[in-house]
Amino acid sequence: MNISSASSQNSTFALTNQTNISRKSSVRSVEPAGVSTTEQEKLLNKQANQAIVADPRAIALFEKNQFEANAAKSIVSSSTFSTTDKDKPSPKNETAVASYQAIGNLAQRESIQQLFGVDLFA
Amino acid sequence: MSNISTEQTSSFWKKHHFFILFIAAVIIKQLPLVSIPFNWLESYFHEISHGIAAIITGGSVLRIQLFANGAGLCTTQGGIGFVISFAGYAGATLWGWGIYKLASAHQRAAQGFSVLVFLLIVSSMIFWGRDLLTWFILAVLGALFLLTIKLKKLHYLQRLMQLFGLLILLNSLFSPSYLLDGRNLGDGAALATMTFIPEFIWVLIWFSLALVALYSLYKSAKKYN
Repeated sequence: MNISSASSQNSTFALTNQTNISRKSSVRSVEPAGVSTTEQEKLLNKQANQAIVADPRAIALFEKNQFEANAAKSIVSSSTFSTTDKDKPSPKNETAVASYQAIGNLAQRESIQQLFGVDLFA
Repeated sequence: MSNISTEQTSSFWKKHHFFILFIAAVIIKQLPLVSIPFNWLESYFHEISHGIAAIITGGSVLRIQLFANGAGLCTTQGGIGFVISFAGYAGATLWGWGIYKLASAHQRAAQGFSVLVFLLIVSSMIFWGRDLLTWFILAVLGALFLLTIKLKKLHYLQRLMQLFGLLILLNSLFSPSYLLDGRNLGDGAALATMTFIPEFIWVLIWFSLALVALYSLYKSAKKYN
């Protein structure tokens, strides 16, 4: 659990970093064009949005981290259950095993009775 | 006048004592709490008969168990299975018949037999009883016979022993019928497995034996009069 939460924090951090960088670079590239301020703002916002959505490295990194986190989570969960639940038979199977053992005991009891020659009279 | 009435009562008792005791036994058997020790008595003589048959045929008794509802179990080792199985109900009939007969024969014989049965119960407690309930039931039966031994008037001891005999006989007359429950359990089923003769036939044989024993006692009582 600790592993997955740490990796998700890391991935979020990486995404914001990438966004900031792309915003800065887009501002720089727009300034020399000489357009109006409102248009500039619109353009900036558009570019910024485009940069956030379309940055493939950030998404790839996020996805990679997310995948690793999930993988680690599944490893942890499987290793936790393997000792207790994985080998535990279902209640249905437990009944079957108990019935099987009871029959075994009956046969065993009968063989002991035959061995010692004990008879019961009611 | 009083002498005449006493003589009349005495002659009436002498004439009909078998029927009076028989009716008393039937009534006791119907009483819910009072009948319990007498059911145990029949159960004990049934199980001890299995045990004695096992010993006679070369086996040994490992354990005797008695239950509050009148059921019992006898665990044996060795011996002849057929004889041991048959001896349960037949033995109880024989015990009932024997107790009545010996008690009728002589007052001293009744006393001596009472002591013998008491000793047998104590021995069963020591050697074959293995659980608290069985010990308790055997202790009650032992106390019952000890009571008869302690009776000052041997005449009462005689009558009490006759009553015990009839109660055992009555129980052994009807208890084989409990085997016909379709469960294929008990002495009848064991004998049916051994001999291929149906359980019903064995039940009929035990019932007939008890009936013959009862008739024999009736005949001897009539002859005594």
